[in-house]
Parts: sequence; structure tokens; C-alpha cells
Amino acid sequence: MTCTGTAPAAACEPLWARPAMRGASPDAWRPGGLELTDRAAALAGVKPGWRVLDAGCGTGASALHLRRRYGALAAGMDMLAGRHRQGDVPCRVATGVPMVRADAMQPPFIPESFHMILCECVLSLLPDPARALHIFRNLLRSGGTLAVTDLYLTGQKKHTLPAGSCLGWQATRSGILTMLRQAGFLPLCFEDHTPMLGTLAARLVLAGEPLCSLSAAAAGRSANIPHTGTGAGYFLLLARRSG
Amino acid sequence: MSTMKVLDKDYSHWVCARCGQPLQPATVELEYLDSLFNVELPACAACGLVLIPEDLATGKMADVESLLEDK
Repeated sequence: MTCTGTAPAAACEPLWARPAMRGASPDAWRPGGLELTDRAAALAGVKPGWRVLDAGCGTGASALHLRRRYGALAAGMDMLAGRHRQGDVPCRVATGVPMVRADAMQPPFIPESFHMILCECVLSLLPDPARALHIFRNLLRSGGTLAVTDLYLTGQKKHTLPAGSCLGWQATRSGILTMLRQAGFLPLCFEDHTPMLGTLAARLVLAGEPLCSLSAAAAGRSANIPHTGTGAGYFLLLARRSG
Repeated sequence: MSTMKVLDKDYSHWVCARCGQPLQPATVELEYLDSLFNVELPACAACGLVLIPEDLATGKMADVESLLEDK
């Protein structure tokens, strides 16, 4: 493997916070972008007037998209809402989207507030994903839908990764589905979208992120998007609140 | 899909050998395996010939090929 540059001094920064992400995926800092958001919305059958929470919304791009395209009353929640920076540059925030600056583990909403919760490339970063799922369940109305996209281990290779990376949660498909059921969800579908992981990684390289820093991410040292050769996959799942 | 800037150097002084026209930044589609990327590259406004500098071909583009081939 070759490296086109030296690893940046800020290699410990999450990938979404690096300047290359501005060029690679300016609004949606995750594999699949709004295309995968559309897939989740289609599977969920989002209807006008649905109350949708984007947990870990970043700039609010997905919530804005759901409002515009589907007529959903989508809102965002993010610990850094309005305060994200990529390198030295403040990130552009979607306008016209209600956003709350709050911890997903302590959301400031009353139970059963939402028809749908969207959690894109965020669950794995939360300190306790299993507890987060319980919290999300309580925020959903009866029969409400949870849509999650994130990294998982495909089982092709063994990993020894520290906590703190997206793969640090060592999530396999069966482990994720078990965690969902234990939190009171009925899994509806689990789709593999791993090629989108490689495409975003490639866009990051073209935008100037050194390949070796993605390899560092693969080793769990820094951040979100590993080299596709690590056995890492990317999934979209939908689950319904049971009970 | 947004267009990515992939070159740091200025190639505006380059001229198309066939048309004699100066190269101008243009959005170009790069396709590899199942992935498509829109990037800004110098191109001839008359004939459309695109310049891919050697350091791009042997650098970022080679890295991307490696990445997408999962090597």
C-alpha cells in the first residue's frame, strides 16, 4: 500500500471533522449520503406530517431532506449542533430545520414523541449503544420505526480493535439484531451497503485525505471509515417498536 | 454529486497541442469499478481533451484504485 502524503497531525480527529470531508461529502458525513437516507425513508414509508428525529444530525442535512422531499416534520439532535468545524472552518448548517443541542443518551423529549428515529453512522459512537436503543424505543410511538446506518464486522476477518473507533463496538449482524430485540424492537430488514463505504473512502482520498490515515482508522486508532479490506461493512436496518 | 477539487497546482498555462487552446478547469466524470466521481480537471474547451497530471495518476488515483479493488 502506498501513501500519497504524510498522515496529518490531526489524525486523531474523527474523519467527519477533517477538511477533506468538505470536498468528499460536504453535507452528509457518512457513507451513502442522502441516497441511503432516501432508501431508509422509502422502506419506512415516511409520510407527510410524520415527526422524525435525526439523532446525531450533524449539519441537519438529512432532516432538511426529509422535510423537503417527504413533508416530514423532521428535527435534528446533536451534541455539537451549530458548532461543528472541519479543520478551522465552521460547518454550514441546514436552515429551516429545528435542531436541539443535546446528548443522544439524554434526549430532551417526552416519551412517544416520534413516528421515526433516524440514526446515521452515530449509534456506534455512543458510549452505550444498547442503552441508546432503549432510549430511542421510549421516544418512539407504538409501532414507530427506527432506521440505523452504521459500520459492522462482516465476519470475514478477525479484529482486535480498541473502544473509541466505530468498529470498537465489535458489532456483527447477529449481535446488532440481538441488541435490537433486547431493547424492544422487531427488526424489519438489514441491508448491506458496504460498497458505499469504499466509495466514500475513495472520495476522501481524492479530496486529499492520505490513504494511510484511513488505514489508521481501520486499525481503530482514529476514526470512522476504515479501509474496505478490513472486513468492515456498512449496513442499513429498520426496526419497529414492539409493544 | 458535488465536484471535488483534486489538484493543488495551477495548470492554466498548459495549452492543448491539437487545438492551441489554453486548458480550463472542467468537471470530469471518473469511473472505476462501480464508483463514479465528479472531479475538476484541466480540459481543452475546444476538443474536450482532459489532462491528468502524472502525480495525480500515480498518486490519488492509484490509491483510489487500490482502495476500490480492496487490495
